[in-house]
Amino acid sequence: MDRSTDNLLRIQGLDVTYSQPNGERLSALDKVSVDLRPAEVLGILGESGCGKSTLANAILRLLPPHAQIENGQILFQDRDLLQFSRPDLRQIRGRVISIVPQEPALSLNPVMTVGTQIAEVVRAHLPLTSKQRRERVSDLLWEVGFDQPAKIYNVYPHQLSGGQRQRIVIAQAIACEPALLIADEPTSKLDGPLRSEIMDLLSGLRQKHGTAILVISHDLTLMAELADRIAVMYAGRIIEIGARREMFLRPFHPYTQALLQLEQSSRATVPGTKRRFPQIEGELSSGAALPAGCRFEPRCPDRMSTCVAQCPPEVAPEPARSVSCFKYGE
Amino acid sequence: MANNVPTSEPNLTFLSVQGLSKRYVAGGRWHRRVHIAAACEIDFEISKGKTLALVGASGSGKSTVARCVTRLERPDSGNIRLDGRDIAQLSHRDLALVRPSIQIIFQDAVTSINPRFSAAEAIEEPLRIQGKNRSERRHIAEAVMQEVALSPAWLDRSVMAFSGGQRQRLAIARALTTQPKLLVLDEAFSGLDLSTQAQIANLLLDLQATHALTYLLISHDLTLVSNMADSIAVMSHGRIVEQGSAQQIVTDPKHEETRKLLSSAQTAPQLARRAGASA
Repeated sequence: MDRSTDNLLRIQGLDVTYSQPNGERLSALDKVSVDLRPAEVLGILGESGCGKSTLANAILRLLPPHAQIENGQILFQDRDLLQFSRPDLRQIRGRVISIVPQEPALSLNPVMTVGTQIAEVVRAHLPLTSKQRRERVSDLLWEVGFDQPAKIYNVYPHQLSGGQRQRIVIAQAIACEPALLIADEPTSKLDGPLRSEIMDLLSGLRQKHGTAILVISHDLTLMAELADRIAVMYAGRIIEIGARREMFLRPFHPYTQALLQLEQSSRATVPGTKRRFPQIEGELSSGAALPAGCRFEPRCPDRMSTCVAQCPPEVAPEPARSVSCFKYGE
Repeated sequence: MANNVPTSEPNLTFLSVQGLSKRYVAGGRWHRRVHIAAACEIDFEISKGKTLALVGASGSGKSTVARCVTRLERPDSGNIRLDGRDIAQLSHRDLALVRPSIQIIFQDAVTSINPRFSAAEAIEEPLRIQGKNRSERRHIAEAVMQEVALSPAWLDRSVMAFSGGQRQRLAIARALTTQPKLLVLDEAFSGLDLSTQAQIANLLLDLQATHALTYLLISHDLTLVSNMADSIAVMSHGRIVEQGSAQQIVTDPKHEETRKLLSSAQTAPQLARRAGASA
């Protein structure tokens, strides 16, 4: 199955490290390869600290100064974003690829009205008159679910709830109808009803505009609702990729299995008992303490002697599926 | 583990809140002034070493109560008795003496810890305020790091090098330095992934058992906290609409708001299963 031609985004062998004040370089991403087709929703699933956000920010080169991209390619429509000059990147950011950041509260300017902040994005990329721009912003506000755009236009971020702020940030991100939207934990700070609102909004965008979405989250519900395919990350590596249905029905990697198991068992609480919550034993290895072989090995219930020394290669136990685990051959 | 707690006085009330009200003023200057009753006539009690969960949807006033109990806000009226002493209207000077025994952990360790600090600086800050010398501070910092299952060797790392769950543990370690009696946990583990959430929750259960800590647990996730809480109070529009033992609230919810919270929380695994089976 050769998909190389119709990929919108193709990340190959991406290595990212973070420098520490003491000169240490901690690995955050290790040979990450993943691709995304037009209008596809790819979910990146993993627990906190696994490198999901580093991956999201690396695509638009928004990493902090102490991060280095050591190796790899990020091909967007067959052009390597890592080779782009700063001015060229600015043409891409917000227009062709945009990102919905993790903290809407931190990414909005507290002393500017939300309408003006959306209009800023439009002005940077689209040749519109100020009247057209205002209309465009109203349309966007309407699209993200505000039924009185004129009222919201002149409101300041602090006057909005968390869910509303999240929608403002999404309006900014879709202002120029990007081909790719990166959503970093779009729902993690929201409660139940607000979460489904944002999920509906994102899936609506894909249907209406054919926007491809890279959604980064630890939330299985979000993955179940939104993603066509799911890539599971663990300690800076992608350990399993497959279609949503198959991933939920037949998780191959012991880590994926543990995650799904946890989702089932953690809700079975008994009130007032102070019983300990089920967890995946051990801790996510990071930085200097990364194991030489499989990174899940120290916590893996199925570990074998080969796992300690060697890094498991990617294998395909079934079509359109890849998993990095010695259980499924070498 | 629970046996470490002296349980000779099981009904000793440690925190008692009576008639607590707090209004905010919105608007003014250009807009019409509106008074918003964020918390209205709030009553609850927590016994020493026990946990009360205050649950409700976003905007129900839970965090206002948390901010009043920790005296980050001064309530408009009502009493907040901590170990018998009313702190509701204490002056800043008097509060300084009480503050070490009350600590608050916020949802977002990322925004509550100075990103330019090393782990040691973040943890030792309260001790520096208390005037402890360098070696005392280091000694305590190493001890609290171990309590939250972080390696003391990481003390010199930048706080930004820690993952979300680890940063939340740093926040807990920092809170422990003042030997608090009451911990207010404001959505302390929402927004974390399940395994990290479980680790933080388990850590808090262990700490409560070893130090006889009293917890006020603020959350929108009723099923998650019901396991940890001895009693639960449900808030809606600034008022407590239902209160009882965790068992009662979960198995026999009376108020509509409680039922709503219970049902919204339970849909998560159902959804995951649905995606697996359909599509």
